[in-house]
Amino acid sequence: MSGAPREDDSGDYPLSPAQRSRIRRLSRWEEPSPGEEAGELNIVPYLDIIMNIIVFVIATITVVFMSTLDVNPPSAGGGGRSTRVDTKALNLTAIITGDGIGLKTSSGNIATGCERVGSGITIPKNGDGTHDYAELTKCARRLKSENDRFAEETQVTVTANNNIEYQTIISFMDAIRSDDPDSCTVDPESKAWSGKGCLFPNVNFGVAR
Amino acid sequence: MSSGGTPPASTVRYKAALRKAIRKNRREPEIDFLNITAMLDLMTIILVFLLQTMASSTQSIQEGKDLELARSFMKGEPSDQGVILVVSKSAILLGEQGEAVVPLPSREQLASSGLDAKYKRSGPNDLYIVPLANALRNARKLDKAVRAAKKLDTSTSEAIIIADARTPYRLLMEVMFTLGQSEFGKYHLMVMKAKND
Repeated sequence: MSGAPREDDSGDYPLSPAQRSRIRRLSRWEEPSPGEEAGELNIVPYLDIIMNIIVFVIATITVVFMSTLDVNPPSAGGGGRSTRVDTKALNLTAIITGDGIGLKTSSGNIATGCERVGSGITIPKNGDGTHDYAELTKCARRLKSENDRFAEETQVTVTANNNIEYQTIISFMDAIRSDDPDSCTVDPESKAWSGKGCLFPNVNFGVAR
Repeated sequence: MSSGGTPPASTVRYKAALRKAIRKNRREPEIDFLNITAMLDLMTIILVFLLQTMASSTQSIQEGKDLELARSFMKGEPSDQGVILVVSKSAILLGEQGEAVVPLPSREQLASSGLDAKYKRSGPNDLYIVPLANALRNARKLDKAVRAAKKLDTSTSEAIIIADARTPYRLLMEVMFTLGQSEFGKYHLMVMKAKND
């Protein structure tokens, strides 16, 4: 009846203290080290690249600074796709030359100064060689206000010398569109202009032959 | 395996006891971190998609020496309806991919008589640019199908004209006239918004 272990029925000895100790040690649960199980990515270089791309895209793309002006096809012979035939209408026509901007209505050519019908360039260039767009806007308002019948007219036909730059045409359209941009708006659906500030927002192009 | 004279258990018993102990002590690992690999994959795909979309958008025109947009006080969002036509300093390009249709001569020549007569239908005074009209015919065919699918008016197409600020009026009219002859009935002139003060 000593303390010495004895064989059991299977003829084997029970686990010795050393074996128990080893089993306890080997079967102990250990927390996996961070990132060991999932193999996490080091995303710092990736984020650097992403940030650079985003900055590059924002710096180069001019998304919010664009706009478009809607126009109709030109027609040869001086007249655009105009619907005006009434001789009592204003029928405003503009010609942009190297000397200035000439305006013509159904009454005739508007003389220099925009006061009466007569010869000469209606709005000569400024002393520095640039077109006087402020005076053009004033003149357009004066012509439109001459008669109540002209209030509904929104079209102008523009012709220019061959060498006139596209920027000049756009600036002309800006100047003759309205004298108060806040009270002249375009309907996004119908593209129709309306408002007290509107002058001649519908521009037709003509080609001098 | 023995210590202090105690006979050890057999290897079979020892291993069975070890397996049992391991099973008993095992714990399900807690998910205390986020596996972001899949998310990064997704982010990369979205980024590539966005870059591709923005690159082909009309709103993403990049100015350079060959193309400087005109400035306008016009407000409002740019129209994105229509076939894109770019008139740069050196060529006329068509479509979102910007395929060169006609090379342009010097500005002086363009300002006096427009494009060379060899590109015209009937001599230097004609406004009809034949290579551009040929390219527009295909574009019109495609745009017509697109408009039909969108249930829009198919009788005419629209064009977005992106022209250099120094483009002479003569060339502009030639381009617009050719567009008009190719069943393009409405044009959107792309400009850069200028400050109104």
